[in-house]
Amino acid sequence: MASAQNTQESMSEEKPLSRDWVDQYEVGSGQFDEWKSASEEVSESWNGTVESMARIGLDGMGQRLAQSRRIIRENGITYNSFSEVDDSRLWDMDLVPLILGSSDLRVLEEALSQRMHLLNLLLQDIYGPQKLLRGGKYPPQLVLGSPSFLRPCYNLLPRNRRYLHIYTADVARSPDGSWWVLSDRIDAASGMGYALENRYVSTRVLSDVFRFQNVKRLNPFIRQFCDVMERLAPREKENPLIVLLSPGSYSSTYFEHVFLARTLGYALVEGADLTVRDNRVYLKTTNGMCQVDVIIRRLESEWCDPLELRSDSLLGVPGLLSAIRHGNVAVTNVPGCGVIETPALMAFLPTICRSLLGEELKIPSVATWWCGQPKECTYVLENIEKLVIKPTFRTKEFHHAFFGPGLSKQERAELIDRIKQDPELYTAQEIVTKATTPVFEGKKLEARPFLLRLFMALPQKEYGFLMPGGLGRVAGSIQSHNISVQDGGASKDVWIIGSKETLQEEPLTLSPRGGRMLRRAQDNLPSRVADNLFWLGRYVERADNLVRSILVISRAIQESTNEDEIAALYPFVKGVTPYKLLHYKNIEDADISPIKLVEQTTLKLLWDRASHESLLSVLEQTQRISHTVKERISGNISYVLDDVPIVGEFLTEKVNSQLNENLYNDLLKLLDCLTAFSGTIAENTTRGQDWYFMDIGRRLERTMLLVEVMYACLETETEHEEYLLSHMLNFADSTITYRRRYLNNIWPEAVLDLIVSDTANPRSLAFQVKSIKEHLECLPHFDRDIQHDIDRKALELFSRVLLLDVQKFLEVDDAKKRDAMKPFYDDTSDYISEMSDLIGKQYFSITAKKKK
Amino acid sequence: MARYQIHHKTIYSYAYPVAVSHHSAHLKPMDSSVQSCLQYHLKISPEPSDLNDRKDYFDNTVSFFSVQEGHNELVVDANSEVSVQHTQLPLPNIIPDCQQVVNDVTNRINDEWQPETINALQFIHASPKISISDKVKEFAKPLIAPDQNYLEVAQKLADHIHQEFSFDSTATDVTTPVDEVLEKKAGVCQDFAHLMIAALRSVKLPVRYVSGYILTDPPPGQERLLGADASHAWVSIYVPAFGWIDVDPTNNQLCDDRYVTVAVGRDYSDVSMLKGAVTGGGDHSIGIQVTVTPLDSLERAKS
Repeated sequence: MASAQNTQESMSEEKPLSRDWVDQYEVGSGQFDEWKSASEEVSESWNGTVESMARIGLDGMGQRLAQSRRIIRENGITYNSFSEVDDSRLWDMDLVPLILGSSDLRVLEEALSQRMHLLNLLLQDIYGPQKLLRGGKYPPQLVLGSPSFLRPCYNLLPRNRRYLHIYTADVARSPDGSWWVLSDRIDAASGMGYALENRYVSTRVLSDVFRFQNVKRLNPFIRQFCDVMERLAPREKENPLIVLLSPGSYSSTYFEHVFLARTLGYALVEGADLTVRDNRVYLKTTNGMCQVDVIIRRLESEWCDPLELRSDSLLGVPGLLSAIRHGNVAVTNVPGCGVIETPALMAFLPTICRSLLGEELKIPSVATWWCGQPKECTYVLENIEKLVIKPTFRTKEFHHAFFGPGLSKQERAELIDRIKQDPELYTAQEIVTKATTPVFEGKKLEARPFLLRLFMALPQKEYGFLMPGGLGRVAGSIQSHNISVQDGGASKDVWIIGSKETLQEEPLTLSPRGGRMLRRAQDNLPSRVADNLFWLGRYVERADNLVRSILVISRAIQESTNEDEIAALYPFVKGVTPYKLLHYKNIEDADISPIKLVEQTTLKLLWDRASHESLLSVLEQTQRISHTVKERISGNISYVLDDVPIVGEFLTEKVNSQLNENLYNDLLKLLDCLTAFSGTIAENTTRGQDWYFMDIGRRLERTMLLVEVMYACLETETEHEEYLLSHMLNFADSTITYRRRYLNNIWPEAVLDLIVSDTANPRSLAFQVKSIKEHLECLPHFDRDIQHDIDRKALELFSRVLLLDVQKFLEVDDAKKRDAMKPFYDDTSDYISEMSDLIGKQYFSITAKKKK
Repeated sequence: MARYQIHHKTIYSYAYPVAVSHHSAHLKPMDSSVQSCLQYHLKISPEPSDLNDRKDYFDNTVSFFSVQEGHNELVVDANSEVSVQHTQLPLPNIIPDCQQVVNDVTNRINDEWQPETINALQFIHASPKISISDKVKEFAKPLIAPDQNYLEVAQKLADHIHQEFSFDSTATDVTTPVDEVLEKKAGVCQDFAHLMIAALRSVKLPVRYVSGYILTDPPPGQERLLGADASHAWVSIYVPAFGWIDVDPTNNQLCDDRYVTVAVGRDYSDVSMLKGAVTGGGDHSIGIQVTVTPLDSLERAKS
């Protein structure tokens, strides 16, 4: 014991950790720095945190940074995930938290409550009586000329109903230590999920630093937030159905939608999942249609309802506005609220505040000049090099800001010219000097300006509840004016330091309000998701089978001693190759040697881009679908398919490689990866609908593939039947079982018994159809008619396979043909496609009329 | 004063059954100081599961309905009866020049905005279907003199469009942007109205889009053909202290009691006569039959 301690001490003596990277922290003169200018309330926490980091050391911090990046990658935290997986950019989080005191939080909460209240009154006026609009307190053009003033939303809610339930603001600290609002985010603001995720990452990586700092927890806020959402439900209901409406997996902040939906426990849906009937919104699920009470909207207003808003929107829900108007659903924030996001409004908020509330704004906005006013416009034109010029209304054509100091002479002249032409489209703001905060940039701590995004929910009356935390963002460099993640900036976890006493009152877990019922298996599986899971099952199985068959063929080629052996293999090749990829139905028709033919066919089977049945296409499809159902499958599983290098390699550098030992080994690795996927699903997925749909998909696929190979190999008796049977056993992964039973004697009856009739063999036909039948029985039976059809088909297929008389089945006529093969093959493929159609009808494309 | 019976039938035919559809219709002629809608009835087949009328932001009547039973064809049949008075034009000397109109609309009096001014104020901006590009500005510049009387400018512009642009229903569709109309120098009434609006709004003159019907004369010596008419579109300019004056650039004339107004808005997107969002259906075709019958002639035919 003592000796161990000694060793440790002597080690640290040998190599004292350098503190220079911490001690040489420099702050610009006249700057407010969160650490160096910290008030008494938080200076201890700051010093303690930085001290802990100094003890961890530069190398240790580097390791933790790598660790945090690994967690971020594993969790798929991206902010820009477009269609291709490669395009998603990983979320960048700085290790040093932004530490603020409870008094900062109190000041901000009070000020932002007032601001949120004010903005809500403003919205109520704009979409209602318009008294303020006509009263001359602000230029009505800011509303009437705004593309975000959505006229169909006028009078959408009854008088005095709240428009704003969630409020997001970007604030910064000025050199004198007070706070400014830089922008109000109202419509479908992002960031809350990232803030929660940052906390998750930082507590994992810096648990030893975090633990003793009395950091306020975020859970109470989440609970408040859920309470606010539940209270919005128009009908009194025990468990209102609340959904989070996302534009889908192509949205730049899709990760956040997934994360928020999971954290809050709400269904993540897309426009196509919802349908409006009788002015009510329904979620199409595998249990039928469920009425939706509250929609948390992450889809921008103008895309919400193609009937009344943008008619080219494929993301919205036709009839949604009508349903809101009828009071049958609450949408938050109410569509149309983006109209007050214009920066120009900031110039008039103090007047509006005095007139509406009879008080001064508790938090100032950054100084703003709307060029639509002649005097203000003149000022802007004269001082343009000191200002940032923003679009008054963000449009597709004009959405970025111009930073006056960075403009060249010519750019400046052009901008001035444009402002003179359409002054009301331009709004100028002061470039504020922002307070700095320490950032760990790999070698040292560096002071960088920061922005803080804050999230507020409004439980009742006029006082909001501010998340005790937020999303900190720092510039990419100390000089940068522009703080945005796109421009190389990073994000930060935000720690609000509380006193020990207040923290003890806070609950540790997110316990439900009141005695909510426990829920077993997920009840609301959106039909679209079920559809995708079903196809994911099918595609993974297809990929698995393709790899197995190519392995069988490659091995056979390697082991073959003459052309005849290759020719004998052809029926098997035919059985595993989709019809369209086959050049010749019979090997005798080919004008090239059997070995060439088999090789060519196999290469097509691997890499033919034009065919959707080649391994390349199937892997691409698998990745695409697994991307769309990411939120349903556990992190580890999507990791298997998304990030394992081998899948990516197959789709990029390995493409078109020839049949050789390298490829053989790569295929083995790929097979491992697919097997790992199946294994993870089998072990880690609750036997709920998710799993049933995926597994039914896979079993249907396996049934079909097995029957195809069997038909191709055995339809006509050949002299090399034993050889073909051994490949079939390999393909069906049943060789070892067979050998254990029959040693090396291969005869057809025994092979078929094992891979067709034996319900104990998980690769047998009987096992597949039995599982299909059993799974189908576990799915919801809400439409008796269709369900009856599905169950009957499954039972018929099951009995056909089980009652198959293997002896008779193998009987050969004079032409060496097996007559029983073709009808069995045809029947099975009919059953499979009919069942697939019926399942689609029942669960995926819910169009059934509601009973009146 | 003239009275008309208007019959407007729209038939959607779909390649595949539509499972559910939602529609909105701006088909009810509006009531105004010069026009009264005496009767209005909407017949829809298959029977919609709900039908609600409400006033939109511009005070037009809009009907919402949805069909929840599967269908391959949807028929929307609007029948209305309207009486229209001849518009009284103001004396030319009370119509302000363009610069004065812009000033009047953008200036508030004693801190308060007058309802008519604030209403006009929303028709000076770009709108969903009307963007004001450099091309539009270039087109408008030589045609709009700031010191000329607004009505004269509007008529000059209508005359110019009528002279320089050809009526060609194959050149454009409902989504064609103004810039493309300028380029092609061709289009239909909707395009000409949009172009004229864009030109006037490029200098912040208040002008709105009108959708409605126009009484056409049958060829000499022939009977009025049923279903041969069409819906029409024109523009309406705002003259401070007087009100709105309708100008038809397609026919280069001021609108009189041969014009029936259905709805007004910033552009086509606000007043589209029939809109729908359907689930299923595949390709579809639309058949439209419009008949505007002067009521006295109808009564004559009956007797």
